[in-house]
Amino acid sequence: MSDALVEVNNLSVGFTGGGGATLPILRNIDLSFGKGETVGLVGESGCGKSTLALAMMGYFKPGLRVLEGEILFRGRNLFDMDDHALEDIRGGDLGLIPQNAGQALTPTSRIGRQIDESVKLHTTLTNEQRRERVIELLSQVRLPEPEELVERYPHELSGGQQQRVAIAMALAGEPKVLLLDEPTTGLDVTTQAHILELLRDLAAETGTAMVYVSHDLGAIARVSHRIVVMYAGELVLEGPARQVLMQPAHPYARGLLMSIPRLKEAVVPASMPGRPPPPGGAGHGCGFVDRCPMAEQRCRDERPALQPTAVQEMVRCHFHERVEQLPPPEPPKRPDRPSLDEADCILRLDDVAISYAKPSIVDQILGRQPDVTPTVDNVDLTIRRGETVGLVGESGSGKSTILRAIAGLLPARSGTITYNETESLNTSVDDRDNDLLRRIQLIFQNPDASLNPRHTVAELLAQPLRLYFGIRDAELRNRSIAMLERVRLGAHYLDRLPSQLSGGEKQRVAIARAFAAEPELVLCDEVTSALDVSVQAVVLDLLMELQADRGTTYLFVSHDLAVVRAIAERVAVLYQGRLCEIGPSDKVYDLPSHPYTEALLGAVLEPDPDTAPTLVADDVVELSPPAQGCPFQRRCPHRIGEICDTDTPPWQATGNGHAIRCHIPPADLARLQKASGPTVVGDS
Amino acid sequence: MTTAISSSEPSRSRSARFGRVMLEIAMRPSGLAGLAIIAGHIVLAVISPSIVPYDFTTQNSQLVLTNPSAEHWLGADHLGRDVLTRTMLGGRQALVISSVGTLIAVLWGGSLGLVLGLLGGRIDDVVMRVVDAFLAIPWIMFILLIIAVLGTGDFVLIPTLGFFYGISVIRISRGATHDVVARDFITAARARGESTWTIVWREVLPNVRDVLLVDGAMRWSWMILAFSSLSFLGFGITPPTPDWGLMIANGRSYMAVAPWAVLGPIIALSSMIIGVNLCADALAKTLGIDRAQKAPV
Amino acid sequence: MTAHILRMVRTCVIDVMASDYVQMATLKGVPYWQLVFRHMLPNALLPTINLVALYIAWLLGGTVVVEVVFNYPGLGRLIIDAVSDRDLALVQAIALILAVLYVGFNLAADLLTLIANPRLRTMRV
Repeated sequence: MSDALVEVNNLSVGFTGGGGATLPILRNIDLSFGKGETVGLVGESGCGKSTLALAMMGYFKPGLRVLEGEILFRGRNLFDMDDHALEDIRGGDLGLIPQNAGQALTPTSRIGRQIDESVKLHTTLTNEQRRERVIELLSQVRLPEPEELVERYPHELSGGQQQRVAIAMALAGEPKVLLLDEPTTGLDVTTQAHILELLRDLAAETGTAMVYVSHDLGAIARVSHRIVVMYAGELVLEGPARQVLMQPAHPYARGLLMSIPRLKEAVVPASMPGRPPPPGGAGHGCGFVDRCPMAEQRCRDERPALQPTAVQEMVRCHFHERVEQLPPPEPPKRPDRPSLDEADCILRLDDVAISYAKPSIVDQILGRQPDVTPTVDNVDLTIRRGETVGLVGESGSGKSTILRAIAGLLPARSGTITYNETESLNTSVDDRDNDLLRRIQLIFQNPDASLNPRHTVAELLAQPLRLYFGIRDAELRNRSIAMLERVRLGAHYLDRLPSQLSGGEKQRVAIARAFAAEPELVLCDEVTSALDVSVQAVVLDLLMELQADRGTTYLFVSHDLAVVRAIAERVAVLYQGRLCEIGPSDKVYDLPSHPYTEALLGAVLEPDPDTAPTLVADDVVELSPPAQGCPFQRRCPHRIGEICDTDTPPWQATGNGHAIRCHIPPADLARLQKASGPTVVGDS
Repeated sequence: MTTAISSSEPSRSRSARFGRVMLEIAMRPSGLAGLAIIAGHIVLAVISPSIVPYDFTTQNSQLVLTNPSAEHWLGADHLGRDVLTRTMLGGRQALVISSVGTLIAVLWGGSLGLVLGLLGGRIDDVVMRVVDAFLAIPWIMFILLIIAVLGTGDFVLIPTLGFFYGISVIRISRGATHDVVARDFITAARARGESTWTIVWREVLPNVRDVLLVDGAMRWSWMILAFSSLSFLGFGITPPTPDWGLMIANGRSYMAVAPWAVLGPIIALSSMIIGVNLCADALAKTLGIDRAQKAPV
Repeated sequence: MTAHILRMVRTCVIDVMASDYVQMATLKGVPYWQLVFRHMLPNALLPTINLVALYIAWLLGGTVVVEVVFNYPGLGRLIIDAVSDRDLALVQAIALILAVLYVGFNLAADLLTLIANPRLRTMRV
């Protein structure tokens, strides 16, 4: 294509490894795109997608270098350009929207100044004109009160606002091509949906070509015309978005799509065994050979070349015609779980309120609590033994706070938390006896942080065994190995340090550590949020298996609605520390819903080209809950009036244990919500 | 986040880890040089009493300020004593006092910093203000005051130097502890119900240890300099025991006439300090610790 | 002292040059020197301010050896002599002066850091 804006020709990028060998990060990448196209670059950690995106700006992280190939931008090879020419293009014709805008904005410089810098470098406007342009750009990204915003520093903005500023900065240079490196990672679900719509609209208005790099296929599905799938530094599949999403021609892409949990299905998605090869570890054959369900000897010996298929795709597989005929994966055989109807109650929260505010001296003397709106208020929750209850909410919803209060790390300001109907959990960790501590275990989100980097796996597993059971020596070792095998890790992992494990393996060690205590209740705090999609599927499967085995009860906190749908029987929705809705998952995920649940569900991005998010509520960040009335009063699209501000909404039951906390009766809500309905997208 | 060491087989035993660290240091040119110099000085300090050609107290009025000759390789000082002998012996006190002092400093400062970092709250605030107050006092004055009251001598100098330098270690240790305590694995240990002692010993300490090691190594070199400065000023060692600082002070007046009397101790002192510094540097790089210290003292 | 400050600045500069926002500025097309002065230095020098303030305070009282060697009439030497002469009043006076100077310089350093680092200015709970 001679009118291609960017052409990547046979690009290979690598670095020099420890032993002096050259290890490739990217191998023989061929890619091109032109005006008005949005290309989605998909892959999991370590596949090289970020390296490719940065390479398209002629930039490499220190230590990386080009092994072969070229990248042409409007016909000129980026690698031949001198610094001056590159500076001209970067920020101008080629714009980058970075992953973590909070880190990417210079902390000591005001927003207005940073955007102005971009404008100054790439346009020839006068001072006055530039000032106006900055305001114009901020409005274009839909930031409120731009005149006031220009004076602020980056840390004074919320994550979503920072991201919009980053977009404005990139637009300042009037780019022909925009590179977006995971721009919505770390943002709330609703914020993410808004930013994506903004990006779509901008692309449509300005005709800018975009490269959207992400591991989130839902986001990619929403914005891309074409999708490129990467694995182990190679391009394995490329084609029109709809084709790739509905009928992927490469087994990895197929596996990846299958491992994404869907809102409509209450099953744990299928997982792919194994993990991607490290740089340089792919050998002579296909990089996917160890994990591929149709691998043959030829795959091991001969590296497949990119071949066209009948439907305008390029795929790197010897047997891509057979992918369609692969049978769907078998769901794992698990023993039937006992019915939950007769199960007793293992955890009960009664009108629990939690506050981070510490009492001042005056309060302490008078023996009263500080008069501050509590972070979490009015939470009633009953969990039956053996159940999985999902606790859903965005940042600031208080879900982690509740877990910590149950674990005894935080005191509840009021209300009672009861375990097994007899034991009070209103105590702190220090006041609980060992056995109670053993029975309730907590697993954290980030395994990098929750595993002591100086301890080997053996030591990590030994801690609960020693603490709760007093085991030592040979039996300790045997039990540790047994636990490792339960989480599908071999005994040879015992001597490894966390830094030598992948994210998924670390999380599995964390799970093994929790289960080594033989708990009854496991509190999961966003345990899959930091993991790649395919790894997430493995971990979810593992959790379900352990539950089937031991009858463990889970309280599963997440912001990912699809994940919660996959594993939870009941779901509770939290907003600003207050419960909005609670009930069986199929009821909660269906209408009628609390307006907040409606907004959440509407914002979910599924890797389905035929669905589009409905943006129900504004993208406003609330710092603290309102002192009275419904917590959602400021953003609710179905607000009925003053009563929402003043009166705490009552619980309205719809049957089967499903209840919504709203002033509007469920029947009316159902009608209102059906009327606005989900949008079905005709084009993509 | 990778450290230089933990790439291959990690071993539980402390001696194995120590051995590996030493090896890695020796593989760096700066580390090798530093280790060699320190080793040389330690060996010298140990064996010098047996190999010195003369007695360090022998004064010979006829040899006053003589040039280097076959019998006296570095000549004689203003009292006629053999400079070479005194140079070879001069490092012993400095080495002993500085190393023991550093050990005391790191242990007491490190522990207090650890405790403060864990406790936080009011106690932390109050104690840190006291620490800041101490840091406001120039070290010389503090030590002089102690000396004025207690006199000089090893048993005064070592604890004093150890105490004073330990105060700066508190800051470092507290900072490192703060970094560690905020991380999830500490919360996880708390949630499990591990006792405070277990958490400190098993979870916090291994992560703080490296920072303290590097700081200790740097502090050792300062300690040597501090001790030599004290001797230089006349407050350290009591003559006639040879000490480089004292020798430099004494020989200073005669530098124009007899430079070798100060040359010996100067080279010896500088080389030891440089050696320790190089080692500390290499250690810091090996362990992956940021070398820049936050306090100049 | 120069060496120490040099090392400090060097470490900070290395850290900042590897930071995300410097990478972003590079990718914005900011020319090298502008990058250095507008994006890198203000952030890299922040920790140095503290160090320099401490050093200034130290210079006033802790450089005894230098003063003795070069025969400068400095506070450090004065205090040594005062201790030797057991002149308690003088010792007290100098101690007070040094303490005030130290506190003053620390305060100045804190204020300067506050001015230089906007993150510290707007404290949000």
